[in-house]
Amino acid sequence: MDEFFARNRLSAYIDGELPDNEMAEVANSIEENEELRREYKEVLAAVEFVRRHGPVSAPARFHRNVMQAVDDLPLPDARFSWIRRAFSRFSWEGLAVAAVAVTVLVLAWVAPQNHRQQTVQPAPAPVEAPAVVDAGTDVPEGEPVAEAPGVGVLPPDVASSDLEARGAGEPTAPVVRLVDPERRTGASTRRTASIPTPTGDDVYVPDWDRNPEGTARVETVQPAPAVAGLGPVSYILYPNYPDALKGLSDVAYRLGGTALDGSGEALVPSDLTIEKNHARVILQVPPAQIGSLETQLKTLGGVICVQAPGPAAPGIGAISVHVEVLYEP
Amino acid sequence: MFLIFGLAREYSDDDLVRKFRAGDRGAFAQLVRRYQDRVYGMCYRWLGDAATAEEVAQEVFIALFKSLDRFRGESSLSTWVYRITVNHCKNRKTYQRRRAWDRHEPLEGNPRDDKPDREIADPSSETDDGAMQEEASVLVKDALASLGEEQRQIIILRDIEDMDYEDIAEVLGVPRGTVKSRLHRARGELAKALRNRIGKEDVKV
Repeated sequence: MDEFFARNRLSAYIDGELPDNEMAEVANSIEENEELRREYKEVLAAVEFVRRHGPVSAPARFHRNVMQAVDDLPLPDARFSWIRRAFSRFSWEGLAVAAVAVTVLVLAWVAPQNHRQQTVQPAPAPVEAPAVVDAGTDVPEGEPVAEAPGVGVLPPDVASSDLEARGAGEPTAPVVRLVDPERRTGASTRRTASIPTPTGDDVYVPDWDRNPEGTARVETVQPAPAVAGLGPVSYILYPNYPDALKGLSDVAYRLGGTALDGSGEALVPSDLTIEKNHARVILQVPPAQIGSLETQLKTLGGVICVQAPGPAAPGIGAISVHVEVLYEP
Repeated sequence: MFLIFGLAREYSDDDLVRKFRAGDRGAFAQLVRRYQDRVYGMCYRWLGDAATAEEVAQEVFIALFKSLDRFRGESSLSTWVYRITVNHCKNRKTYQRRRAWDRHEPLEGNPRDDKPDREIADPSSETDDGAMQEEASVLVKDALASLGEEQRQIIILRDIEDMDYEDIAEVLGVPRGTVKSRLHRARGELAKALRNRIGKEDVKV
């Protein structure tokens, strides 16, 4: 068994949580590889030490204190326990919301049709699609700014005809400033503001959105939040083809690493569809290959680097890179 | 003979829950005795000081008393107790962090009272064995304190409370694969923290 794979399985080997064949392979690797053996002994010694000296006993007075604390509390009424257990699946807030929803539906159903008041809203004025410009361009003073919709929309190569209009002093549509992926920083917050519709001279860029020179500041975006239980995303991949997961598996293989799914199990590639267009893939890449990863990912489609992958975790020897895959056919 | 048998009988968790629901306060007292070391131990290892651990552990049992009649038995009682304990420890940690931020206090617990109380008088406390046990406990405490919170959780649940992967996944609300990968990294960090402080000569390969 490859040393990299055996090292990744040391913990499961200690707990006997591997299939029989992998247990034997890890045992062989430990026997053959001195460094792996040393690492295994170190981890095992630490685990056994904690197991032996970790448990502690409650203080002598603890039981008495607990029973005194619950002495005044009423015991459950056995007659109604089954009701409480039946409803314990649902939170009281959820039940309250459901009751309100049912009441509203019933009232809406029984209310006579001819007593309803309908108001007609004028159709909103059509909004001119904002021009998209490259992030490196400073927007001249006075130009209103709108937020880029969504996260990480790749810029088509659109030459902004609005630049010429701006130079002529004509009012133009709001310019959407796209974030340059290379300029993304760690924990800056998204600034929000209501952008008034420009009318001649009545346009502005808020003070906090300007550089000291008076040009509009490059906006940065919060990195995609870590999903509970998973690490932070390093890359967002917009694949060109539905078999992107297979492609990611191949990328990992070419770099000498592995591809895992969001639960840490070996990735079983399946085609992405309109209904199932989203996946989290964890690529475990040898540190020496991490520089080639982004180039490899770009062969599969559009790539946004949210944050650079971290260093290799100790004892693993590979860098875990989280890739969020969003397939938009 | 039957009386002696009745007195000596050990009730299962399910039996005690049933008796508690029927109004037997003594059944709850038995549950407290059964779980107090595990609950207190987890709180102590998680929160780092004895006074806070005792307070939170007591809150756990009060919460258990109030909610035991809603326990549906879909998981084992021990998993349920651990889940309540984990939630209380997390809440306390969040509270401590917030309070430390507001008052510019150090995050780690009360420096005056770091040692757990021993329930049974240790006859060897006068000898080297007692001192070594004390030192070992401090080493474990320091090693756990050096880990991140998620890593500390997983070491406590797996290596101190001896829970299996499925139960840990259920208690923490994460997939089994996450438990495995998190445990692997946590043990690596733990080994680093205890490196050169514990002997490895006796470990059999």
